[in-house]
Amino acid sequence: MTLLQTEDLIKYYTADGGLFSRGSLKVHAVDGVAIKIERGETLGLVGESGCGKSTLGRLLARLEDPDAGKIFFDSQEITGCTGEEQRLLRSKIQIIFQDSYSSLDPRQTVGGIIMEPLANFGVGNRQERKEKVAKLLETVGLEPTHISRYPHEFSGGQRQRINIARALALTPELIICDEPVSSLDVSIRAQILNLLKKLKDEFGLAYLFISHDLSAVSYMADRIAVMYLGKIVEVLDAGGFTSRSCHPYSWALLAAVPVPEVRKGDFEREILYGEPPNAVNPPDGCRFHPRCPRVKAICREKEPELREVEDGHLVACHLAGQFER
Amino acid sequence: MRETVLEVNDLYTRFRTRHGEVRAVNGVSFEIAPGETLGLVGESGCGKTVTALSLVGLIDPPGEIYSGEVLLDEQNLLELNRKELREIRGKEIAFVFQDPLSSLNPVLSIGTQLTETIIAHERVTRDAARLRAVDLLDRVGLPGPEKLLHRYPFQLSGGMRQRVMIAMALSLHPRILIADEPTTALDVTVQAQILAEMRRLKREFGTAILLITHDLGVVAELADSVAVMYAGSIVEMGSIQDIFERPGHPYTRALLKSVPRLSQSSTFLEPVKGQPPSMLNLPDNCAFLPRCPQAKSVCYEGKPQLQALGYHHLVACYCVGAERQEAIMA
Repeated sequence: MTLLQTEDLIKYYTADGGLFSRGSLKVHAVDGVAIKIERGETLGLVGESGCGKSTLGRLLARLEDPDAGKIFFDSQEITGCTGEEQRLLRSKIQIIFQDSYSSLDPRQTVGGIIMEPLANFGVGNRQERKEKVAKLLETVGLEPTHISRYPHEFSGGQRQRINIARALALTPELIICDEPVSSLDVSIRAQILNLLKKLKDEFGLAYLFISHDLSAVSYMADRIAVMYLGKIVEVLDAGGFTSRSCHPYSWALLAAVPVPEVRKGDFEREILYGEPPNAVNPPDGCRFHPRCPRVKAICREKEPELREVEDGHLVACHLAGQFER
Repeated sequence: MRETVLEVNDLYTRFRTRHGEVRAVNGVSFEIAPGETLGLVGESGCGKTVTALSLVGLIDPPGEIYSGEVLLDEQNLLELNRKELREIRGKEIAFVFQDPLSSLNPVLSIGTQLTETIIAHERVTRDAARLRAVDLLDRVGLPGPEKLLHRYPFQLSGGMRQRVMIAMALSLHPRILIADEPTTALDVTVQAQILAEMRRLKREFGTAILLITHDLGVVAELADSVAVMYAGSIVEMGSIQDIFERPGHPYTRALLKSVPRLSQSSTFLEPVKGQPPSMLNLPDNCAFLPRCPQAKSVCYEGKPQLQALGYHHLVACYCVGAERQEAIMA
């Protein structure tokens, strides 16, 4: 069953052109995105920095208003919702950010931080809330004694656990995880990834897992969506990503992942040249064409539509399926 | 004995803070052969960067190198004065840091910064230095090098800045390049470009590289040998085959198991339990002990030293030797 769905979602930011320039520039952060997240599913969202993945996450969490397009949650349109409707939505959709420190109030105790959403929504009485907080701490692998400590007393991994506990407090249905492990150390990263995975099974959560790290995404996700310059260019099931993905950008991402294994023989793999282009002036035609090693005339002229090439596998490339990797 | 360009023996660096003494580097020894790339891996705070900075005397108070030697051609760098060290830095040992924007001067053009570096160390004319700068920018894969000389750091992207840093580091043909997390701040696709570029430059220039990173994937791509650091000490050292295919130390094994891979089939990762110890009060025995899945009673008794497990493969663990024995007996 579909939990969340978007239709042609658009968000432009206006950037100041500079001191002496007239007018302003338009940054095409999210430019016509249609995605779907099923109940209890993890949708992984990958792409380079600046491709609009975080903006998309913020739009879905209703932290930003889209310029156009629609968002449906549980078959209800939530695009323009305000007031009480929006407040209630907050209990269903939560978000976890990359920077575990700046998303916690330094002057509040851990207990206070996790209790706040419960108090806001009037869950139970004071005693019940306290018990609930203790239970949440246990769920995320922290000690009940941590309840009266302050965020600065914790390590990065523990702070991310506190963020997770707070996100879980109101038993949401969808958690948007925006690079939740990127600032953590290797050995801690695995702990948090496992915790998120465990919680998903335990509470039947759905995640939008945003990351630039393809290996982390493929570990977490059921399906993977690849984003490039504000557009989704490929969506398919995570298990088939390494073998069946067919957008040249997806291949480039795959080839760029440094693998912690000894490579046999001389390896020089296909490297994607150039830098991600500017979202102020996206190229005409296919947005990836200036960097695409397989570019043809049509790619410069016509923007490819996201089309289904096999069951549940969407690709936005004119030439998908017409060439070998 | 194999030939070495740099030899580090029993290096100790500590910081005196008001909370106590931070023992950042505790008896680190390694050597780098000409043209070799040694990867120094470990998690944040394990002393990788302090080790690198100690090599060229870049430790400022309250930090202090209190023993050890750093030999570059039989010359102990730790005994040199500031002026002599300045000569070595840049000329013999060059640096590339994680954040290229803060390592470049924001108010000088790329050209000025590059030529200044060359002129500061060599007797060449400004024009000759300029020509060399153009050649270097070209060699690190930057398009339109002549135009680039007039640009300022803020006008370049992160990947381009890091290429400029590499060009600058290589400008004096150093014998050792210390690259401290050179690709950590970059996008994956740009990281792949820089790594490919560094592999090519390594072949072309024959520079020995000390590559510092937390990313095991990056090490596997670029290094010939690896030293794994934990709590200020090297716990395992060997060729990349040793480390990735037959790791000995439980920490190395745990790290390798905790990284998600693209071709993963298992449903859960096996993370390392707990957290690294505080460098303020390191235990007298094995620092990995509280997190070690294989801890035995012998581990509580003292600090294990690096022992040979194979040709050039060293491991600091009491249990590894014993385990090997058992394997041989069985």
